[in-house]
Amino acid sequence: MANIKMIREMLTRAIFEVFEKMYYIFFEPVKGDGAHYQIAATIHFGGSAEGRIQIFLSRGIAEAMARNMLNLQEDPVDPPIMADCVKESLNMICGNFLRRFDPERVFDLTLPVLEMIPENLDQSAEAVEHRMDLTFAAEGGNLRVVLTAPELL
Amino acid sequence: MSFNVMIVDDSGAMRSVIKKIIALSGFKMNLCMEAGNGREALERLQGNWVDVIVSDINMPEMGGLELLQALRRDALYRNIPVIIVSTEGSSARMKEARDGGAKGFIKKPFLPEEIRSVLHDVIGVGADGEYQDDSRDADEGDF
Repeated sequence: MANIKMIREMLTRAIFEVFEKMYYIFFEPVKGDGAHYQIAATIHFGGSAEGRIQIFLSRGIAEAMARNMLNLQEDPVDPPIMADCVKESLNMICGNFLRRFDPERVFDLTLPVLEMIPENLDQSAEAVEHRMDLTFAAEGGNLRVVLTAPELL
Repeated sequence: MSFNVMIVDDSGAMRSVIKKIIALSGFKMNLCMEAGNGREALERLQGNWVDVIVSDINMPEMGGLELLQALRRDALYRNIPVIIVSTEGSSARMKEARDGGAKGFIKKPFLPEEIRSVLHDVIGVGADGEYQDDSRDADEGDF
């Protein structure tokens, strides 16, 4: 079983590669700061390992993703386009991470599900077993990525 | 010489990006059709000819590998080259795609030049967007 440090490295590299190549957003790892996020997306994976990856991001980051990916001008970004970009990013993060984790095996991915986070929802991070919680910062906002995988962590 | 392309992906944003990359690469695109899944792709093919299909794997209703199978079963469509563009890039999945008849495989996320390079290899389109006489079938290098 790959150790925790290696898994953190793989997941971080996957996130960097997806956001830099597809969205031209450059993140830096930071400590979780209790920031409130407006958007969340979840994807599940199964196969030789099972688990899920969730991402939480600010509206600013989600809009930047859509603008950069699609070269949109300064007009407000349509919510469906923003949602599409966020879900696709999670699809790529998960696939990229799993490729790094086990390049030989086939994993089954669910279709990502997106939800808007209510303003009054407590988003403080819980210490949960088998979970890895990473936070990244870029111009425009933060991104939080949570990997839950009992067989890996 | 211009080409008809079909892009199959459940993400509209991804379809836009691929379309733009193909257009900006000098590839002379006559018609670009889009579909959100394999079933839609088969419907849009009715009465239309395409020179290449670029398809994701993981899509609702009908995925890319099922689309490959459906195309291979149809004498009218079985020779249309299919390039898979997917997050699922395991060696097993790439083999599955190749065995299913795919001519190229691009892993997401990708750089624009990766799409251009595979298009060139699969349908023999040069940097000037023109068809090259030395086009060839995909070999291991295209995966």
